[in-house]
Amino acid sequence: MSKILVIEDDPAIRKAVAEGLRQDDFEVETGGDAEQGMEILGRFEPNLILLDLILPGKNGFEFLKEIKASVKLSKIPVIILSNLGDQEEVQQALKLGAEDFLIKADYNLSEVVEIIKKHLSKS
Amino acid sequence: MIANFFSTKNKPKSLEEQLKTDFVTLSSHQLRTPLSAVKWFTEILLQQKVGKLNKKQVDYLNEIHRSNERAIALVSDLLQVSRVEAGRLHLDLAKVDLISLLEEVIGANKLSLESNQLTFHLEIVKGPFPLVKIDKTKIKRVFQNLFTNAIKYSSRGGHIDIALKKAEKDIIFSVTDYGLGIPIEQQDRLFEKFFRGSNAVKIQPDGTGLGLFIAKSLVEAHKGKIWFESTEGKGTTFYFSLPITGK
Repeated sequence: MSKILVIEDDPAIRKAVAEGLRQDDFEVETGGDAEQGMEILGRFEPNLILLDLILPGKNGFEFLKEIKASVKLSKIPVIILSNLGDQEEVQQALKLGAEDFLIKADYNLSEVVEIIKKHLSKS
Repeated sequence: MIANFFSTKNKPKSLEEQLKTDFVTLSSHQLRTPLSAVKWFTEILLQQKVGKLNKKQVDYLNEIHRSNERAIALVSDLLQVSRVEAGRLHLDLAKVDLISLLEEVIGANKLSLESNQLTFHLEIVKGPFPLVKIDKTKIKRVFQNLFTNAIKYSSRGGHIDIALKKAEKDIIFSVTDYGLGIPIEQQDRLFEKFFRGSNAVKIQPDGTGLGLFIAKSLVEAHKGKIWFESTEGKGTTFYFSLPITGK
């Protein structure tokens, strides 16, 4: 069973994503900000991180930078799931090492799950 | 919080413009989050894995889904307009096969064509077709906007002609519907933001009047041109051109 960490500050989105993933037999942990994300990563080793960009405190870009700078965590693939999506934001995220950039409103939940599976089969 | 993401962007010229653009950008992003939640919870319920639904519940959830998708499309259009107006339209250029791109758009609209009992003819000039350097997502959006307009404004059981041709320095796309056409006194205003022709309002009361404005902005960002010919009562042809950029 693959493990996914979801970092998302909106409680409804967090709940929907977790539900969609659990229905597909993923083990899911969720955090509402970067700090909680780091705390969870101390006890949970995900196969993939699903990361929002607009977060209270440290934003998603900063969190991503920290992950990619960590010897222990840098190999975990990160997919951005955000409602931002300007070209500069997409490029910045990819440059920082994100595997993919999904704009929430453009995807069905089942499509998000399929994309996660595709990335997991690659890694 | 969200303001951090926008503060480094190009500023519009006047304070009024800046406030307007910031408002649209901010509200578009903020609106997309709850709309995404509605979209995904509706999907979860419709899958019936969390509980069985009766026919009426499925029907009503489908109505929620359709209305929500309309709201998402409107917010995305407003966001696109705000990017254009703030000078933040970035093109990610790559060589693209326009024929495949057009076929992709036609394929995605098959259901609407069928449900409106429309036939279509696609004309592509024979011989080698040049690859053009474009932002694929944005030109796909232009194809999509013009093609869905042709579907929307065709009479049921009607016909649509689509053509992709090579001129000396340009590729020219055209799509023709044989619907109500555009009254001549309204033709000058057709690409204005939020403008909707009287015949368009009759057929599609809930349109936004942003599709053609966005299409024009995207084509012009590629140094192309967009125009149309229309006769009221006979139909309309929209054209756009993209420069062939060489090897």
